Formats: sequence, structure tokens, C-alpha cells
Amino acid sequence: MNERIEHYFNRQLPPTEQEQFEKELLHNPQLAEEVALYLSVKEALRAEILAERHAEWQQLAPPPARSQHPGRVVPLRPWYYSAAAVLVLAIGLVWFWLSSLTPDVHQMADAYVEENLASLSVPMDTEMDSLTSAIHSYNDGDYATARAKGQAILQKNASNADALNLLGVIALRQKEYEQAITYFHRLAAIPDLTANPGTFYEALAYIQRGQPSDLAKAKQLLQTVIAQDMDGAAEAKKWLAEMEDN
Amino acid sequence: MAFFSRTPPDSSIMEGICSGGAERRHCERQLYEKYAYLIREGTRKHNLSEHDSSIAYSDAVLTVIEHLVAERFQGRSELKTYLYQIFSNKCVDLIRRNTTNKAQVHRSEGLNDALNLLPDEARTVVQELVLQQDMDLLRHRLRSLGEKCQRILWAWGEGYKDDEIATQLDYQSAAVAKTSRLRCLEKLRELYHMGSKTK
Repeated sequence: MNERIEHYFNRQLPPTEQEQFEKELLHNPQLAEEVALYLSVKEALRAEILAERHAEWQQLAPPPARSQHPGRVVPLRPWYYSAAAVLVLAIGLVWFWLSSLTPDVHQMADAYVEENLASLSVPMDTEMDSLTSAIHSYNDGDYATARAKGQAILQKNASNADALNLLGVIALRQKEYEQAITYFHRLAAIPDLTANPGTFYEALAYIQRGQPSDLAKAKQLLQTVIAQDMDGAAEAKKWLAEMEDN
Repeated sequence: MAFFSRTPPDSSIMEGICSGGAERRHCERQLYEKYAYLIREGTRKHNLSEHDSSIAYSDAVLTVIEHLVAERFQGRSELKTYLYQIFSNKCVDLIRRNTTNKAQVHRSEGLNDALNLLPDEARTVVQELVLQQDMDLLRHRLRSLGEKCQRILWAWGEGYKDDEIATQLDYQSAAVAKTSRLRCLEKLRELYHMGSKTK
């Protein structure tokens, strides 16, 4: 198996070799086939591991409740009523405890940021060197440098969508919600983009800020995202359902 | 009494998973058990059957384990919330798969991440080739590899690094483990192609 394949997907190839590898993929069918098989093996292994773990974990799960057999009806003794009252109270307490175990929309928003915005993908447009470098700084956790680079891009072009997105995400990660909302609002207003998560991220920032009227604003924005099938519509549906549940 | 048994804190579960070996397996089980009540959420909120919901939950737990091992989870949200988020996505994926009946084109998150590293043109080429692979045959060939190869590839699939594999499976060094692993991949490739031709 060609070692370069592994190095490429582990991001261990130097930039020039990485570029060379990507070009070669287009003209070398054997390499392309090896890459496809490498990825498929990983996929097959994961499926095997999941099947094994699922079977193992199923043994840990409590057995499903069995259906009750019908029996003869026995009249209740008086003390049963007190026992039933205590039981109802206990069930109420357990229900309260269980409902507190389910994360609310704030927690779902936090998890979304953790899962999806912890690192940003670098656009393939090679002309955008400064943006690429800003995103690399962000992905390395150097928010100050990423912010400075992003702002420099915005100074040249105030409606650069990638820079607005990056600066909004940085502000969000640093809990500077006012700024995040402003950047995402500006991003949402840019027309004709193939993908524009601005409105969805603006709602996300409102949810995370959590001021008294923020949830109502977030709800409105999420409804817009769903109605216009914007980026984040699937997530918006889940969050709205969560808001309506609580 | 089981009712009073102490639930391990998330921090010790995460630490145990990242530490590897037998401790990792033990903590994986703890993670699964701790939040297994989410399976009910899958049946209640997403109208999944208990079977489907439990598969989505196992898949979500495995994904969280992969993220922990790869240091993708940085602890900015609670582990419970992170798992819940991934579990919800898995439930939605499962519904989509069930309704569109496109199980054969379903790709895991790991595969999507890897494909997304490629530039557009190369991604299209590789993606088409991935779709042409016979996954059942590949899984069959995996199981027909020698035990040593199976164990090393399995450990690699679980996210263990070569130095950890070397310690666990008694290879002299990480470099030796890596060479052996790549040889096993090559062997699997040969077996797979032999099978494709004779099929």
C-alpha cells in the first residue's frame, strides 16, 4: 500500500507533495484506485467494529420490559391507595430527573459549535492566501492572529463572506456574542452565495448569548432558515422542536 | 445495591478512553451505559424502533470514542450534550436511509471527512471509485485474513497509533508495526482483487 496515501489523509505531506499527490490522482488510475480501496477498508473496518461493539453493548443494556400476563382482578386493600400515592410521587420525581438529563437547546447549540466549528475547512481557492492563513491560525487555536488577518481581509473587501464567517466564528468561540451577531447578520445579508450559513449562525449566537428576548429572536431566525431551506435547516428543525418541547 | 452504585464522572470516562488498552474498553462500556437512556429519546422524538434507536446510539457512542481518541473533542461542551448532538444526527441519518432506501450509498462521517480533504475534481474521481467497491466482499476478505493481520488492522481501525499497536501486539517498535500494517493492507488489497475477478 502506497505510504503517501496514509500521509496525505493524516495531513503529514508537505504542501508541495500534497499538491503533487492531488494532481497525480487525476492522471494515475492505479493511485486513485488504491486511495478508494484505502478509504473503503477504513469504512469496512468501522462497520465491523460497530457491529462488534453494538453486540457487546447490547449485553449491558437492561432487558426490555416484558408484557404483563392478564390475571384475575383482586380488590385493592385500603393501604394500597397510600402506596399508589407514594408511587405516583416517586414516578413524578423520576420523570423530573429524567427530563433534566436531556440537554436543552442551549446545550445543543454548545455541542454544535464544539462539533462543527472547532476547526474550519480551508477553501480550495488558491488565490485566497491570506484567508487560508487566517483559517490555519484559527484551527491552531491562535484566535488573535486569525482575527487580525480576518479583519485585514475585511478592510480590503467589506463583504468578503469567508472573512465575515471566520470573524463571526472567532467571536462566537470567545463568547463575544454582540460581535458574532453583527458579523453573521452582515454575512446573511450577502446575496447570491452558493452556501450562506449567516442566518443560522446568527440564531446560534442568540441562543448562546441567552438574554431574555434572545430565544424569541433565535426562534424567528430558525423559522426563516427552515422556510427558505437555508444552510442549517436540518439542525434548525431539531432546535425548534426542542424549544417547543420545553 | 445497584441503585446506589456510583456513576463515574465524564472526566474519568474520557481519561480512561484516551489511556487505551483494557482501561479504554472498560470506560467505553461505562460511557455506553451512562447515557443509554438516550435510546428512549430516539424512539420518542424520532419515532425509531427500539432496535434502530439502539443502533444509532451505539454508532453515536463509537463516534464520540473516535473523536476523543483523535483529540477532536476539546471539552468546550459537556460530554452528554456532545453525545446527544451526535446521536440526534445519527437518528436523522437513519430515518433518511430508511426512507430513501439508499443504505448502499451511505457513508460514515470518517469517510466524508477524508473525501472532503480532496480537491473537487479528485474527490469526484475517488468518490465514484469508492461507490464501486464491493463492501460485502471487502468485509468478507477482512475476516479471511490471518489472525495477526486482522488484529493489527482492527486496532488501526479503532484509532490506535502505531506506537500503541506495537505495545499492545508485541511488535518491536512503532516502525515495525507500521510496516506490518501496510503489508496487511496490501495483502487485503490482493485478496480483494482476486475475489473481484473470480466473483
